[in-house]
Amino acid sequence: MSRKSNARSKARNKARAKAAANAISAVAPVVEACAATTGFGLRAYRVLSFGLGLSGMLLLGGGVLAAWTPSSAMTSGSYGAADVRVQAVDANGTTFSAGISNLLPGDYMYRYVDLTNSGTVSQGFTGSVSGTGTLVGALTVQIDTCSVSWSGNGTCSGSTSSLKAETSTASSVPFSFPTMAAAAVSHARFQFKLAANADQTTYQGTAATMTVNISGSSTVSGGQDRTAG
Amino acid sequence: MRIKANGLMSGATLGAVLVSVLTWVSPASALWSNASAKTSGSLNMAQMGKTFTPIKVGALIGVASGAGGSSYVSQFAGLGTVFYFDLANDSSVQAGLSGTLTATLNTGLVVVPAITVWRCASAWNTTLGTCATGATVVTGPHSWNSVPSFEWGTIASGSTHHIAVTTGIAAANIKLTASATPWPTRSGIDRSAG
Repeated sequence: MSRKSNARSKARNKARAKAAANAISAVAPVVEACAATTGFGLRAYRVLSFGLGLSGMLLLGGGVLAAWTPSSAMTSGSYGAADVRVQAVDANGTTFSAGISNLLPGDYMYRYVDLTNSGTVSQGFTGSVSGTGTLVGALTVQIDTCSVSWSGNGTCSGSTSSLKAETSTASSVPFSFPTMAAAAVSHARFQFKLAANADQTTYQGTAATMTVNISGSSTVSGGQDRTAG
Repeated sequence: MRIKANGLMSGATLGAVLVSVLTWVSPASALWSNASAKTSGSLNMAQMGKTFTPIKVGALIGVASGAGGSSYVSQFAGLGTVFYFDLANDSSVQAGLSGTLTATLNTGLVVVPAITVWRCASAWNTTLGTCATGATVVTGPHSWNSVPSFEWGTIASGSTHHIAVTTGIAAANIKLTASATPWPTRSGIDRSAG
């Protein structure tokens, strides 16, 4: 190292020492005040002053030490739970809740209901027809479906399927629909009939109210690997 | 999970693990369901009925007695020949009414031994024995003791037929009995519209 360069180095160190001394001088009044109020000893004050001076030199001469922490984030798509619903609405101009009076033996009526799987998964549907009132003993029910909407005169331009042959409603009548995909619609027709041989003595003037209950249930259970979707 | 120093799980820990497993298996195998219901209005069967109401025995002179209700029974002793009564259809639907009629001559003389049943659309004038709207023959004339079954006619629900039965000119004690059976005039039709 040349003499000239040594001289520059000494000058630089001298400047740094001076800056450190200035820093100590800047905080000295504060430290002295603290020592006075807390009873801190003079020796301790000097040790502290030395430490501060050393720190100041390290800060000025060594630069800042930063810790780098890499990170990454992954966000999933939306995980939606299945929605299991069923919707049964009047169809083909008939109203299920409408009553009929003065039925005579052999009289019959149709009630049309569109059953929609309004859930988000395939469902199987089961149901029952049950009634209250004396006349249930003389009524029968028959259930058919049409692959398309029933026409106004009760005919089916598509294909019909029988869900239940004519059966007495004296006791609850169970039935079931085939499995339906989400949003699929089944066009059902319920025929209620007063038996042609209904006994007048027992049934004349009597009444009944019929209820159709339909329950949908998802056809697959959980616990499956849905990684693929 | 807490494991003891000897490497075996404590009973409490093992139980907790089992409960945890069971808790998660159960919902995973459950099927979700939903239901819908439709209820009809009241479905009523028709009711049939009829009523006889005695009006008068059209007698020139005499004493009449009798009653109505489900049938008509009247007796007349004296000089007179016409029995008047109303037949009402109490059914909840239009009905045809099948009928029978018998006459019994207890004592006395029947000058014209014949039975004829008449119907008037309006009430009979029982004093004059006339029908203002024009009378029609329901059945007859028949012999005293052999009136065949006949039809009173079709009567709308709640309506009435006004009947007169002539028995000839008699000076006798005559008993007349009439019955009717209502029957619906239709059946087995599509009632979807109501």
